[in-house]
Amino acid sequence: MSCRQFRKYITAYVDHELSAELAVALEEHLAGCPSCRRRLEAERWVADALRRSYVRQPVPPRLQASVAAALERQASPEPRRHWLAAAAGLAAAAVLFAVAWNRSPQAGVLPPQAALAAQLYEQAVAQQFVLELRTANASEADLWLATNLPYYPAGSLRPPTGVQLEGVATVWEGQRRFGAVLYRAEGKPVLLLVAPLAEQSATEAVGGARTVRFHTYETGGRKLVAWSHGSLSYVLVSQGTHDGARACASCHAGVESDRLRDFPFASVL
Amino acid sequence: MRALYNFALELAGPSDAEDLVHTAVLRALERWDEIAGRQHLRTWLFVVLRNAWIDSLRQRGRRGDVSVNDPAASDLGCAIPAAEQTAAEQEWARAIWGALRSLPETYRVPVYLRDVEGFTYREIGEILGCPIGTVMSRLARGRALLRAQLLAQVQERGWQPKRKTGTQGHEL
Repeated sequence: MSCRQFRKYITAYVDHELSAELAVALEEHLAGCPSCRRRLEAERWVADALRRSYVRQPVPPRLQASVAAALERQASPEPRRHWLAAAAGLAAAAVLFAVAWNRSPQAGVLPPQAALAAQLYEQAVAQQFVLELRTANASEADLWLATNLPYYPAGSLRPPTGVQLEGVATVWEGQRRFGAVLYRAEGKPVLLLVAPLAEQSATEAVGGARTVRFHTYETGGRKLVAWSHGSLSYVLVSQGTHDGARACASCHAGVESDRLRDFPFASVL
Repeated sequence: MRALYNFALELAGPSDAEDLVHTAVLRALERWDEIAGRQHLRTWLFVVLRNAWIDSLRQRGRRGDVSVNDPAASDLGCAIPAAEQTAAEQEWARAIWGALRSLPETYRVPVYLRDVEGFTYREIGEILGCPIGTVMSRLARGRALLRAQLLAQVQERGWQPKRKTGTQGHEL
């Protein structure tokens, strides 16, 4: 291939969107072509400059208020909507599971985000954890995470009875950005950290989406539950002696039976 | 919400961005049942917002590139710089913001979606309703235009290029 042909692929190479075969061919060409290397560096420089220096504008308060009002209208319905039924979803499930599955720790290696989750949790205990969106509205929090994390699917952050949602934030660790959700149960914080699955290999989904293996840990009075489901991995940190049975009953009541088998924790409830 | 609002700014400019986001959120909520459980909710929300923008253009009887270089927009980029940035970094951020604004929408939006929002080519194609090849060619052209704009600003402001990014100069 000529330089002209190779240059067509430089953009995709910079963005890690080029096939492995073409990437190798391009790299071989780049090794012997200063002109194409300069082209590559120029494009990479622009992309990096934007990524590093672009400052997002804050959402005007008026818009925040109007959207919050729309979400409030949507979330205070009528007969229980299907999405609301499903809304006892992943995060709430995690809270319940942490509550109900308070057993001795399993052997295994702590997931990569455990330390970060524990650190954030201690900040929450010390009331130093800064929420970017303070809300008790699970739909609003869900929408906020979905628009701020590239990998976040339509889950749900709706908590079960006795657990209050306080808000959400995104957390950077190096170049990686995670979602953090803060709940409160029995006056104590409950923190959920959400990460893309590739970031957390210590937890593993078993049998596809229908069964999820939960890894539980307990140390220093803190309980940590880690699991993965779909494309995401989760670490939940909590403390205290919760009424797990009551929480589970609340969860069951909020889930339609035909949806139950799709729940990540159905196999252990 | 912030990402949606900033995408709306890129599409429609500050005068229409708020209405656009509000309309998009209402539409998204109307169709929430359809997407619960989807893996790509974020992409879908951006699609909804862009469709709302196209509809608003149709209603106004105008279609095509929208200039966001209106007077109201000119100060937006420097209105609220990140507090932790130095003065030089803030100036650089404003230069980047201004350079991006100067691009035609055809190139500006794909570059924004990729380099600021981090969408994949497939997702950008979904949002903009165009093939991946088109996304790639617009990105290449957009970045070339953006680089030319930034180099012009560097010369205009007398910045000294450095090999490493710092507070006095910027790596070229």
